[in-house]
Amino acid sequence: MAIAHLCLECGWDLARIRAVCEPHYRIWLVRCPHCARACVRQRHPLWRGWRKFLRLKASLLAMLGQTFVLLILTAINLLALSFSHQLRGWSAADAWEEYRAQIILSFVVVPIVTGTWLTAGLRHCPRWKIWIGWTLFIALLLSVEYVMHGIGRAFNIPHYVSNNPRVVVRELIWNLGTLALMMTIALAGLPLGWKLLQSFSGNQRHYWRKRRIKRRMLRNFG
Amino acid sequence: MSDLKSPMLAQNTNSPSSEQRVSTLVGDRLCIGCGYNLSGQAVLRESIYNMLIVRCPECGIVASVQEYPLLGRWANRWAFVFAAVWFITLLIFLMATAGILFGVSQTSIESASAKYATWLGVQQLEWLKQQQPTGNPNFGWMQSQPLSPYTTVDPTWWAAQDPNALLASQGGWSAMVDRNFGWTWANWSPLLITLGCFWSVALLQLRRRGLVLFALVPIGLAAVLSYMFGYGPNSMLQMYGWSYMITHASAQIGPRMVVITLVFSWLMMCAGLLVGRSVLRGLVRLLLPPRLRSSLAGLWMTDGLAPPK
Repeated sequence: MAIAHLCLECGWDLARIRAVCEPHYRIWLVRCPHCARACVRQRHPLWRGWRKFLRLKASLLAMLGQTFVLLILTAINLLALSFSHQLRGWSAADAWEEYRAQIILSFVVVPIVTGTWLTAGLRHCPRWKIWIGWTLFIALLLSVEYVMHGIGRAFNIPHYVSNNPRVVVRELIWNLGTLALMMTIALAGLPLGWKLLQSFSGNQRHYWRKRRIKRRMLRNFG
Repeated sequence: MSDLKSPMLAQNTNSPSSEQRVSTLVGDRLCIGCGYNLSGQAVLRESIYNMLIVRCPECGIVASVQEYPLLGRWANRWAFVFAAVWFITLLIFLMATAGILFGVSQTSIESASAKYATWLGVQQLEWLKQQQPTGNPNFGWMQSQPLSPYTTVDPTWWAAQDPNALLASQGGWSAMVDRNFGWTWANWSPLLITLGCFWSVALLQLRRRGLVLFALVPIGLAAVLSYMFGYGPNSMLQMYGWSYMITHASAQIGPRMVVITLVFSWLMMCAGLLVGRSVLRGLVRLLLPPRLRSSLAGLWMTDGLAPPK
């Protein structure tokens, strides 16, 4: 049974009158056969709630996806940085001979993927803020280890960070230097990110054009 | 559709200036076209149908703001079901929070009692050495066990002791508490702050003072759990014939430690409760493009802030 829908002007029940989509405003209207007053037919709260839920779900899924990518990129960047410690003391030629695949993965693939994501995935944020923010974030994570071991040392907890401040400073400088190198290589991800954005927006343009054509067809001939 | 077309022909020639501004939208209402939050936009009386409308400044779609009550009962029924499910979920999370706080208090007690428990082990070992000539049957394996907070207690020895006198002989509680519990606290802190952040978002209807007071609920539940099942005078572990030295040590160190740890946990949770929404708002701004932020406008509006643009 249809839900009652009373005319605001005369109280006539418009429940049985079919709503039509108003072509200019694109809202569903019913004209009262008694007094000719136009009334809006709202969506049912359940349907409205469902659509609201779908919107919320889309936002949460997008956020979850972004967080997942952020975590993965953080992890692989930290792994690449920790791998760099293995190369200390090696000559460039020997290191290249021994760890060619790991070096390419850690210092070419990982930074470029990171740069591409920073450009395409976070396109809504000012680019300089994102790049500086990302560099500071990774640098902060690198220093957390030393802070935690500093706290642990106060409680006589076993730790593997050197007691010698010189060694710690040298390790920090090595980490920051490697990070700077990786971020420089990550700049190569900028054009890739732009290209990705271009193709994505091209797809979107195509999608909206098709939708507009479909609507126009419906309005004119439907 | 024919009866609607005629006024629209006139409308098409009208300028938007013929729409009369009536008031401003103060509630939370998303555009049906693009999801933009229309809060703060002008409510207009359009001239053709005399309807109240709001125009989306982003996509230009008109949204009608006239609403009619509905006779259908399913909306209310479903609302009740969702509210009940949400309430039960929150209760489960509340119990889980209390369980985590209980765990924090127990691990803190364990690490705070380690020093006193080891000292008790030394005392028992000295007593065992004196017992050797008398032919104590437990002597062999009791003496061979490694000295640690988990040294097994000889019930005969423990029955002959006055626990309060033992603790007092070493300078009392503050002298025998193992300071390593600070490390346990440091390890738990991130989780406690995260719990605070979670509750600050789950209880969007509460303001800051309400959130801080709410944190006392899981703390109180954890205190009850600690009293009933944790280390302490009523510990279930003490009911067994054989027990570890830490069980007896924590019965003396534990009660005061529970209070201190739960106060610390409350402070950490409060830190999370106070910054949780701001952190999440920052994350939403960072991770989501403006189009997707409008669904999460409640995060802003609950603190009286302008919804995200």
